[in-house]
Amino acid sequence: MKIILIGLSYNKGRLRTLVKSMKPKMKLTILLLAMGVTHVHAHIYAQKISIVKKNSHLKEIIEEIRKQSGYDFLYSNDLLKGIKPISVNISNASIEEALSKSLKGLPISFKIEDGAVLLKRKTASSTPDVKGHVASKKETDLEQQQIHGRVLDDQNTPLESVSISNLTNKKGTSTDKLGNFTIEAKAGDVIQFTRIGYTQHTVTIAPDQQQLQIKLNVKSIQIEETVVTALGIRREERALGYAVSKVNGEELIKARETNVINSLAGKVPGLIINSTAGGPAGSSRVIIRGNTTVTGNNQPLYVVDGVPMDNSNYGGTGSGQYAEGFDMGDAISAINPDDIDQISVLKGPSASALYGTRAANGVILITTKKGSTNKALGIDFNSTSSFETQLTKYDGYQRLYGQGTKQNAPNSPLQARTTLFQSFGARLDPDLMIDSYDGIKRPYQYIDDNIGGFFRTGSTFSNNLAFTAGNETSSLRFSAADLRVNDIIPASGLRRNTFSLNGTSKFGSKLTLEARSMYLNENVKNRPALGDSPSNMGNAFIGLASNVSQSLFADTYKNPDGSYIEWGGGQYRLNPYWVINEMYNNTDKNRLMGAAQLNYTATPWFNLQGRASTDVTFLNFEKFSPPTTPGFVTGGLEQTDRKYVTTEADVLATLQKQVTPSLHVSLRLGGSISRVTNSGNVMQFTNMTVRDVITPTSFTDKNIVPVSYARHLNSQYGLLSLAYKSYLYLDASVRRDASSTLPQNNNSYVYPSLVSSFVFTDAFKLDKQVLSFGKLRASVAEVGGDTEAYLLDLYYAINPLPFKGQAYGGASTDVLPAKGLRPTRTRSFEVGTELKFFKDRIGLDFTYYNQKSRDQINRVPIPNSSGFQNRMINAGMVSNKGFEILLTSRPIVNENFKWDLSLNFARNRNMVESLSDGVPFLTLSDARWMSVAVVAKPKADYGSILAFDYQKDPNGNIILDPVTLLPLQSEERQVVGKGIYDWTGGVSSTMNYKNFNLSFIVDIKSGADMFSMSNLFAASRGSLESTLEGRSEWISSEEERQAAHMTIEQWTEAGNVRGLVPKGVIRNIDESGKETFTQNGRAVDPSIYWGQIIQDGGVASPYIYDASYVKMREIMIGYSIPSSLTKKWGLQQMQVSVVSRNPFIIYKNVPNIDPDSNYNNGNGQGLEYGSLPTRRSWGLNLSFKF
Amino acid sequence: MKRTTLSIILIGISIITSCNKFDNINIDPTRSSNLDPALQLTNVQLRYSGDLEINEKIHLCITMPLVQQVGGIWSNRWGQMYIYNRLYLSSLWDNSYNKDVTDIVSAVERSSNNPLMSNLNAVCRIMKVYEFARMTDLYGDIPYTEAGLAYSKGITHPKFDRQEDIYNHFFEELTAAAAQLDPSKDVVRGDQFYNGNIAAWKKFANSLRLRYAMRLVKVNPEKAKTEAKSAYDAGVFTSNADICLIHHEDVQNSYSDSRGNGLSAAFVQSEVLPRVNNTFIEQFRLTNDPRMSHFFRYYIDIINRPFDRIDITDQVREKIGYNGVKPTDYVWDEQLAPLDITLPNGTAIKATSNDQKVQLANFLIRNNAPFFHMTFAEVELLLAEASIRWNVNWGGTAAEHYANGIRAACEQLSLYPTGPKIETALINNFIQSNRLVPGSEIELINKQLWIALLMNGTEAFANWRRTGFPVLTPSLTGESTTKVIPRRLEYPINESEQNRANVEVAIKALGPNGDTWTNRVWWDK
Repeated sequence: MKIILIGLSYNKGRLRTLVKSMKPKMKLTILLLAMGVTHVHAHIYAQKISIVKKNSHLKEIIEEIRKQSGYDFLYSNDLLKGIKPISVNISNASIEEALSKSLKGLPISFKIEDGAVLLKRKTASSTPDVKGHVASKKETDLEQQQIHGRVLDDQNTPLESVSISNLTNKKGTSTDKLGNFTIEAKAGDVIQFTRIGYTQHTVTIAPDQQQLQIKLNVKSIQIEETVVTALGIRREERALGYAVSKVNGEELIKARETNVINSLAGKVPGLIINSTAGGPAGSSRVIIRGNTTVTGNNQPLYVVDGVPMDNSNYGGTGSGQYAEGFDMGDAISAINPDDIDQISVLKGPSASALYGTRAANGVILITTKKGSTNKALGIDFNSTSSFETQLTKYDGYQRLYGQGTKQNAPNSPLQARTTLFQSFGARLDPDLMIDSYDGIKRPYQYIDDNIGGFFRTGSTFSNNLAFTAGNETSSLRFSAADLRVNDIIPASGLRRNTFSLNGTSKFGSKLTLEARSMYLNENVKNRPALGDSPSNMGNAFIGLASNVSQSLFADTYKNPDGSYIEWGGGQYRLNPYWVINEMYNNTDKNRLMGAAQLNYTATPWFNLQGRASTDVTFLNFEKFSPPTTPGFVTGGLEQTDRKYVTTEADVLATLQKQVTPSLHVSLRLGGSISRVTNSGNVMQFTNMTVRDVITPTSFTDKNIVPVSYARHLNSQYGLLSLAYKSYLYLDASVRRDASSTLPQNNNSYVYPSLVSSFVFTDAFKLDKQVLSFGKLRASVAEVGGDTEAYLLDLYYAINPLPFKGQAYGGASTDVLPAKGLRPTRTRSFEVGTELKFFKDRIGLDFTYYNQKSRDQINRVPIPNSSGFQNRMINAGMVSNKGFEILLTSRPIVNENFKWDLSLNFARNRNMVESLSDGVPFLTLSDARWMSVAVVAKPKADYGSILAFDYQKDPNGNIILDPVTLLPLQSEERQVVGKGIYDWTGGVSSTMNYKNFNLSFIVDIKSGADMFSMSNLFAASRGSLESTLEGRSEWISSEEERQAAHMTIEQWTEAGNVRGLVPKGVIRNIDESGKETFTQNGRAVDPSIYWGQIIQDGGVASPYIYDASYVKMREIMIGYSIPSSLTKKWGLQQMQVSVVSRNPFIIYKNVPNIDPDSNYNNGNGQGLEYGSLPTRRSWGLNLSFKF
Repeated sequence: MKRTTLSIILIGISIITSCNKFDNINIDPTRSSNLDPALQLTNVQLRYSGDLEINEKIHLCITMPLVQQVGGIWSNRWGQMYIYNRLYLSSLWDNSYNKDVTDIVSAVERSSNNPLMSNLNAVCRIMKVYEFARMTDLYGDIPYTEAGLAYSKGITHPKFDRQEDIYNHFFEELTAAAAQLDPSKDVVRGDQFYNGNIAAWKKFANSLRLRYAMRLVKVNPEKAKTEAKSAYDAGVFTSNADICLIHHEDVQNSYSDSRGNGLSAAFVQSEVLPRVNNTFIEQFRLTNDPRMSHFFRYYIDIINRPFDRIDITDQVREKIGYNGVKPTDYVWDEQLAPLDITLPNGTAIKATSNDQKVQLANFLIRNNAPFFHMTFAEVELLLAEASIRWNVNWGGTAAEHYANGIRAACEQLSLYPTGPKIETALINNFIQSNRLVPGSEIELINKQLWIALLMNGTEAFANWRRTGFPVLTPSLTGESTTKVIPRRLEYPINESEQNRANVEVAIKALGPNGDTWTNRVWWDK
């Protein structure tokens, strides 16, 4: 009966009819019930009210509520007589909340009817404020007896349907319409009163008690913020003993990212997100509190509605010196932001210990939106259209000299082709016509934003439609999303459709079934090739001579017969127009996720839950290179068919009991299984003999490699939670995992956690004027870890292509298998505090953590001469220490203007404490040029950049090679930087003025370095401004020399040479063997000098930049159409916003490229080569609800 | 109720926790756990000359230009102009220890003490010597006895063996393996060299022994003589039918394919193909070598379609004779005036400067060109040298062996698909007019070996270091990073960093010049 009414609360006409037919007192009861229980919905749908007033007359406050809510007020004039001035502090509240707070303690009640608020004087109450004895019997009687009672709310209105259970004898009942009940109990029994929307109440029967009168408080007004924690357990924030950051789904759906996880950048302290230059269809690297394993996967676990999700990275470019390929995207990108209700980030092992092995790097919990119990059909529509342009440009290029070598412009088409990537020619002169490689003469003039001209303006269209419906026992939500991206890279784009269905149903009072399914279909056209790939378009034009327009190659890339025309880039740099027009790649992804959850509430204190889910992804990739493509002269077709299957199932039993009025105990016991199996084929076809159809049968050479992966995990766990008087909480957990990837005699491991939270402001009943809330928390935890599949045995592989029909093969890995691996362990310690000041106007959350991962299962290099390049070994320790601060504030709240400002800061020191004995360092990633590597080195930062540095004399001067005058290389590679950030931070601000709101997010990262090989290459080709020095001097020196008819030797002899004079000293050794250093004064030809810098033996240091940056991540300006208008249109709510992601970079230090650039999402960050420009987007978002 | 719920929990937990056993989950269903060693033998044989990475770096980039056979393009500059590139010097080591060494060591181990694999084992042992010889000849002291044993013996940081010890072991191994070969035992499958011909393998083992014996003429002439004698006595190649070669498939290899000839792939994947070094051409001109017109051709290249290039040898030769590149030049350095020529189809064109610099003929660099591991010609020329050095007569006089060597070297060209069959009269005439000259026999013999070893740069380089012939003038340019001709490869950065203690011992043994490419290996001292 009650629930139906609640459901009707929005169908106001019918409600009114119903209400009218009831007795006045009952009407009010029903309305109040509706208010209390529907609070959550109101929270979502109603206009939010914020008022801060001190010592104001109630009339003023009512007027304010009227303005903000749009509700009319009806009350008699004498109602407010004699009411003393009051103070209110209401923020973001519903009309009900606002009224309840404002009228609290006043003899005034309210009801809302048909868009109007009725205020009336409360009827005098004769009921005492009771929770104890009303009547008593003389003698003690331990016999079971009938106890009669009544339950009222805080307005002294009888409450119906309150469930009452005697926790001692397990009997239960509920109140009737008048709030009356009878239950069997004896002295000492604990009786519990529960009703949705009200705080639970427990009473112990006194020896002589026969009657009870109970008052339940409406819960909604003081509803505690809850967060979803491990295993999907929703808990009050105050009970948590570790840091959890949450992001509401609303924040993700306006200024959108094609990969939803990127939206979190800058929002969550300590969460570092990098997306590759792979563009919208690429993957993201997400790191929480640093890297915990040296060579393993450091990505967090993603959990959707309590069930771990497959987050396979579908393939990247690798980390070797010649790493190349495509970023095939990741699994998290499949989640439609519109389906997300909330994201919780569990940062350390304490938070995630219950998820075990896969959670050692933190967990990102996603709660999806559910249908509402609102009977009426709800429709949400959300649409974003945006345009993308390049965020960074090649703006550090010199504009003075053109194509050529040795200060000469090319004088033949052949020279024009061979010097295509040489800007060491003569001074640019638009009147000069010079040969191009196609034989046509063109002006010798600078072309502005030449490389940028290759890219187009991208566009993204995202449309989402969601339906919700429900009744008292079931609810349903269906959503459909369509995303279309035309990337800034020509011919590149994405189309993604997502459908999800979410339903909950109650079968009787004890059984609840929740089911969820999602289907995703994604097609990606022409993922850009990355790294050292010959078809990397980011690489192809770097260093292109300053007067050669890239557009020249658009029409001249192929012969009339369709064959490739060599443009000057050779085999390793294909003409990008050939790449976009003649080659193609295509990725189709179909993904099905299904999950079901069954909850059985046997008794109020016992709940059993079972869950099962499966997640299947079919990935088909195809890449075609037509015949005559350099490297695939006979033509090539590559196909990959893969299937990723993850099945998860778990059971969880929850037992809870209010042991005493102040102690609540709950025990959760559970177990889970996880089955990951991937399989597929990688096929290569070469030698294309049939040209008109691109299919495997058109190729004569066929090469098929099957791939397989399987990993099973069986786990059991227990969690004991104690809550004392809602201010002291203690959780203890233990988990045991058994993994299929470890040796059978050593494949199980047990690890515990202990977590505590203490709300000291409540415990000591502190004055809340200044410090309104204060909590301390502490935790220790350990998480065990396994390794990848198939690492314990040596395998041999047959070569996919037989030789003259005969099979052959050999050892299939360069990783020495290790039979004796043990589980790895990560132990963490965390303390923190959460403080709120001035009635929650300022909030501070501080966390310090220290975590150590030991017994790492590492891929450790061994000398090649051993027969392998690496081995798997348990060795080494990695530590992460740091702190995280989140400061939230509301500097301004007044009638029309509200400003929320939050700052976050995170410092993490990620150190490699030790590695295996005899291993000087471990390479995480090798650079293409100059023997630069990103390594893990003991006692150094994780991800240190190792490179040859300068050789310096005792005074710190750079020592130059006496002949070439290039700087000399240090004897050994040294740590010259590191690829991970020292600290990260963010600023987010939201301002609301009347119906307008403006918000932005600034993302700050500091302290990492980056080896930019794009800049190195551009320098060696004379494109960078830094290569200008000495050029004009050299040219005039040469002109004078020729005029003087002298050879270069004679000219040098005469001391007349001018040009680039490299700064540094020359080492001299005198006859006695003593070392002296003299400043260099000799000049060299700049074109020869710069051409040599990239060679093996060069010094990389000048191209290792500070990668710190401050970026504007997001700007949003929104306008909510006033409800008076939306009502007319039959809408509940409508909002339009101008949105932008990555609109501009406020500060950076790396010229020409975005410091976020990389070409893989591996552990070795800090290298950049041929990265494509990152995208900025501007767009319009429109959302409305029916 | 209580009982029901309790039993649900117990059932649930027991299902999940049943056991820690995962059966075969952690065994890869797509790969073999115990491959037939014969398939590894094929792999090692094929990759020796098929792997593009190794063959490109050691032959095309370093040794062929070092002995001044080819040059002129960017890929040649490292060896041609002595431009240091540590990565290229590391290529052989870094790409064969963890592949070929692993496989051949494993094949030897897994076929040993197995009566059904006795011959296979012997063949693998010979192959293992051959594989390691290429490496020790280039690097000097290397891990040998402990190399490739990480899986079977747990040796992750192998010690370096002295080259002298390695050589001694080579002689023992070749002797023992040849003795182990027995036609009555198992048939060797997978053998791409001799298709399991046991007698041929015996001869190959002995011929290799002869080659390695002659390697020691500078450092230990006595040992060289003894080993050469016993190798000869055991039976070496006696005709071109004995040649050890592999016929590749007609596939242009990528870096992951070994079916075609790797060196060919390295040649033809260049946009501008290597030219012939004038030093090499000069030898042919002075001796009026009949192979000259077959080896050296003028072509108009067609980018990415190497075998469609237009042969203009006759038209150009008639105007400028044979012109390659100077030892110090890139092909584009000396710009020649365009030549007016008429193509066979009657079209008149201008031959550009590049077109007027000779290249190696198509047949030598075809994808299916065989790789000659060891030839009868080499055996005969080595025997000729032995006759002179030690005044011995092993089946003939120095002059006879010399003549046999030249004849075999000319005739072996017909083993190339589309290779020339040089007329016997021309060969006779050539031999007649180029007899051994007293006092310079060793030089003449080794100049012929220089030619016979074309397309096997590492062996030509080893032979030049061993004998000093042909006498080469260092081709120094402004880009040269050393003033003398390099004589070995440096240890890779990975090895020196990860196997430091052992590398340091080896570097110490190299003497004051240390681990440089201008230092010398033991037998080259």
